[in-house]
Amino acid sequence: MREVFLKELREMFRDKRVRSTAFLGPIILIFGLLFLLSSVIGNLAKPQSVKVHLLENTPAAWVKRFEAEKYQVQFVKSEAEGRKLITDGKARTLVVFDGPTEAKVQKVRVLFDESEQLGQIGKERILGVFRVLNEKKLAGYLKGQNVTPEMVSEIAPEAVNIGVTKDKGAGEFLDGFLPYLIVIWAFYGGMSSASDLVAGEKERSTLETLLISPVSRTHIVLGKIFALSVICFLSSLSSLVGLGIFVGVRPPGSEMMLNKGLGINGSTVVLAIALLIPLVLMMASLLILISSYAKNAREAQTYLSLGSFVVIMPAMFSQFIGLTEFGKAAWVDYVPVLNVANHLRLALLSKPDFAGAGVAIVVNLILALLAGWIAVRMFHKETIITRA
Amino acid sequence: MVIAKELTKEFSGGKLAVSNVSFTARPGEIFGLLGVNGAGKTTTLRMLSTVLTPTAGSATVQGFDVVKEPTKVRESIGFLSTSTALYGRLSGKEVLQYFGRLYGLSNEKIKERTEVVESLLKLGEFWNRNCDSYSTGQKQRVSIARTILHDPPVLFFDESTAGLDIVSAQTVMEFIESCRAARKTVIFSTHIMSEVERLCDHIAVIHDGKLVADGRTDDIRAGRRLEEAFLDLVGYQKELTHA
Repeated sequence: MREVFLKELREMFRDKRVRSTAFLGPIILIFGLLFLLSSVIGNLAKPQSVKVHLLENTPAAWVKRFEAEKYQVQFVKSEAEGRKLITDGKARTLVVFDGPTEAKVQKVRVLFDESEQLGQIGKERILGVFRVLNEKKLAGYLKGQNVTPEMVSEIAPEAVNIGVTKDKGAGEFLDGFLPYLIVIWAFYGGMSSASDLVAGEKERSTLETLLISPVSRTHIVLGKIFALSVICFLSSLSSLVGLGIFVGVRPPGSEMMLNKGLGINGSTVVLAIALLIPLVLMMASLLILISSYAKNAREAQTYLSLGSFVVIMPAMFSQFIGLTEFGKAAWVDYVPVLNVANHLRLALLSKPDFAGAGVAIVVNLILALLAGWIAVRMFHKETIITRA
Repeated sequence: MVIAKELTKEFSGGKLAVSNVSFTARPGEIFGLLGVNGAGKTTTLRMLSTVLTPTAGSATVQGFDVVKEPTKVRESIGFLSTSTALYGRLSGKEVLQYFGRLYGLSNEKIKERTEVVESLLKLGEFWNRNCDSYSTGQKQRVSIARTILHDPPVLFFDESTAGLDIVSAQTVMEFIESCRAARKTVIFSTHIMSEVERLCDHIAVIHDGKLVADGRTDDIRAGRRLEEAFLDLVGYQKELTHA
């Protein structure tokens, strides 16, 4: 078994496809994706990046006020022109100052397209500017009347955070995204190698040579499963390297994603490794099982692509589990993939649930043993192992 | 020595690939297993090499039962097929070391045997390169080296020259001839009559999974060309006539 394990590892490490898809791929993809997202988030957060269109006859004081708020002010000759720009998607908002109302209040219309997200965001920001002005005016008036804010308030609400403080735990974005990446690459990292490990060997007739050697079939399968588990594990960790580079580079906008740091400490790492080992064993057993069944590498790729949905679906759900009531539900611990992603999420939030994680580890180990056992059985079935 | 007694293999779905095949291949003898494509030659060799389990009958290799003592059988055989079956991302030397370990050879023994096969098959000039970069002939030489690395007393050659160029095929043929002098038991499966005439002392003809002839090559030929004798044995009748 040791010989098969070492030989498979050596071959996989020499395979350009494995190096690029299992190791380099996650690093580049994760860094690229995070970089892109941080740029988008950063741009959305910056006032100067929000364009606002005004009519040419807008009072100069208002123009100055928008410029002071770092908006990109652009002018249109008429409301009709502004409306056309919005419907054509060339402008987000048009602010039209209609003059004072009967009550001598400046009437302003903010024109936008509800179907455009950027238009909605622009509208909210601009209304926010006016809201602040109104509040300032009200506060000034009350002060002039010797009225304190408490005198015109019925209640004094206060939000108190009793959970994870800002110096602990991952940002809201990362606690959903990071576990997803880790579990998804534990599968995808091994996918390119898996089709080659058994189905490819059948196709090239190298498997028959191996079956004729004195090594038992059980040891051949286990050697392959363990070797693939190493690749799956390293691939999963490669996604963290991509994240690490992102944290190191800290591109503009990343502060919104990393507002609480990464939430990674010693116990998080230990728990993550304990969760990942049964997961990668299960993934590798499943991949070898599928590859053993296929006649050739191409057929294996088809089955593996279909099989990937079994991993993707719970992994995707893990991103949104924080928005549901299921984050602490006991049944989640029994759902493979989802259980690991959820416990990684809780660990990143600095709320590790060791008992639940223990259940998840046992469940995944049992499934790994089951998939491994089926793969071994399949290797002893001559109708399956000799078909090519 | 290889002894097959009423060896039978029926695949799922009821397809009878080999039916009651019996023969004996002795040391120092090249035993030819002849038959058209699909006759059952490869299935027979797969049963003898423990890849497939016989449905009925029995077989022994060097006295070891193929069903009851498969590991002992595997330790006693070398198998060379049409495919060179090498690992593209390993060098020839690494392939030999890998198989040496799979066959349970010690590091000293692997070193000793790799030196022997390296010099016998002249592998030194290329065996440090990855197998992917080899010519067909080089691949075939490394495959032969892999087959004999553990110095097995029994060798199976399954259509080993199919698809090879004349030089590569000659390497295989010369190697098979050398096995006779080394007192190996060789079973050579083929459908190329010229190779059989050149190499085999004894032949068995399989047709539709059944043994239709078994005897000394000269006795089977009975004064004819082997090809004519073979066509008679498989019941070939001329079907095409010129208009």
